[in-house]
Amino acid sequence: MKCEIAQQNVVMAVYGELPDELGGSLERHLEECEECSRELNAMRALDEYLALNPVVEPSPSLLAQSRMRLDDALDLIPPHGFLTRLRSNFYGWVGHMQSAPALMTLLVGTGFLAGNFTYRYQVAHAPAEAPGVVTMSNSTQGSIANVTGIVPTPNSEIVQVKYNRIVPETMEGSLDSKEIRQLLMVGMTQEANTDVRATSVKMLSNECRVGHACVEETDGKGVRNALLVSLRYDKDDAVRMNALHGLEPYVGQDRRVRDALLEALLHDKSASVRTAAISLLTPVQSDSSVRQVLRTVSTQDDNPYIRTASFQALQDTAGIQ
Amino acid sequence: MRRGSVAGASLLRIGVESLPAMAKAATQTGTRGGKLTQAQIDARAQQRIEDDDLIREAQAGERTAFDALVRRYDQSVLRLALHMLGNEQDAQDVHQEAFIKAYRHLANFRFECSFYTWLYRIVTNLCLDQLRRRKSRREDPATVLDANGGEMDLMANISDERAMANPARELERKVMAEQIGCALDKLTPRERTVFELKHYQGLKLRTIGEMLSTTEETAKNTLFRATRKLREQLKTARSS
Ligand SMILES: [Zn+2]
Repeated sequence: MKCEIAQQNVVMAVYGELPDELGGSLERHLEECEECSRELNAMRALDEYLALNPVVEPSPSLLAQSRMRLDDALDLIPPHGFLTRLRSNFYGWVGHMQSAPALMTLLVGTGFLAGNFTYRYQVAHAPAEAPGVVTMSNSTQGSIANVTGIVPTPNSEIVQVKYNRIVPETMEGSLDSKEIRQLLMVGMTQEANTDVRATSVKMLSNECRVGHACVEETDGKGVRNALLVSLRYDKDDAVRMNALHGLEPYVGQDRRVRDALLEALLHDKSASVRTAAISLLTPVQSDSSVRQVLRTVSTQDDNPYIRTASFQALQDTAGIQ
Repeated sequence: MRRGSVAGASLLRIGVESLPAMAKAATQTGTRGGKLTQAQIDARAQQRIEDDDLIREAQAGERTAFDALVRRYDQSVLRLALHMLGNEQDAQDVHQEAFIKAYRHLANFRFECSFYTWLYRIVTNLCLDQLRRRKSRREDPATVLDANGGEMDLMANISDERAMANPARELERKVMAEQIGCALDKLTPRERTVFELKHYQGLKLRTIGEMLSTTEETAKNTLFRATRKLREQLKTARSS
């Protein structure tokens, strides 16, 4: 192997791009060529040095801020101006599902997260009031996130360094408080942490079930909308199940909730979610979409129990028709 | 005749042994594009299926589906842009522009590659543009101007004992990071992008080639050139 090629191969090997069959001859070359093994060492040193500048996760507030900006920008784009309408039959009968932007559910908390410091000041200085009162952990500790400015003083040893800290915080307060709810809604979208998602969804679902202010908010920012998003998109069966239960009180009055349930009944992977959807939909069979889906499911669902349950639900409908 | 053959031999051994060791570390951290485990392959396949479902819904006009796609990927988009551009404002701009582009052109998505690859292609091209614009704006990115308009010598700061004094271990790390940033800035925008995608994002050279509308071979050569340049740039820093 020529040195020039060997040195290229060293770089490729370091980056896991060297085909296995070339590995052996490279090793043999390195055993006898000092210059090329220096190349390897240099690459290792570079790797080590570059580790001083690791890729860091964007701060939660930057992420939230960016999402909010993006969502605003997307809202300005006419929804159907540029897309070819390729509605499947399913969407045909479900009709126009004007779901509110899912992102907004995540972002309700943003202004609050971004304005964290001011907010904390206000909380600390505001007279306490129940049940909206929340207390936040003291958060002067935290690792340094970035240095934003350095101002040296001429002819002096004094230097002013401006920096930001990554500040872990805790908030404690009533489930009825706006701040706690916002945090839970952020928790509902925590892709990487199923526990947090599950707990958030469960708590907010319970709030809805006991009728604690789960009103529909027209801007799509409310708890109900967040539950709809979880029901549609959460990967975890148990989380979707909990979202489903939280929506129960609104099946009769909110068509979007009904549509989401129908969608779950048709497409959810989990048989228990589909089964639960049938029982929640049974009181509203007067809706022709519900009947249609029950009919489809009663003949097509993989699960015989679910086919029977749908059929049963349809039989009960006979009187209504 | 080689001098110090004993030292030379041990150096070789370190070198040879470290190859599989590095490969192993690469698969463990998952950032260097080593071999994927079966579980990782399965997870990716599953993710792809879910993505494709979401895209179909989004193409049918479902904004919530597009929002779900955004939520899946926007943190990594922001992370990449932030690291490449080293500036929150620019990263945020790229984040926004990339998803708007994706939204507008979603109807053209043909499921030939993964959504991730498609999106990253948009993101890297935006970053590339931004780097090119900067290059033409700034003559010498390695020197940083201080508040008084004078040149701040980053190297001097490192070797300056006072700058290292408490509480400045973090600061020291930051200065080093800044120095690396300067070295990265010396690369051409294309070299920078290839290096970023390979070294920091651990993408396959084939994917990188695809994203930058070039061949795997070109990407490979560019990566090689970038590492050479970086080593040259950082040689002085390391020996100080
Ligand atoms: Zn050689």
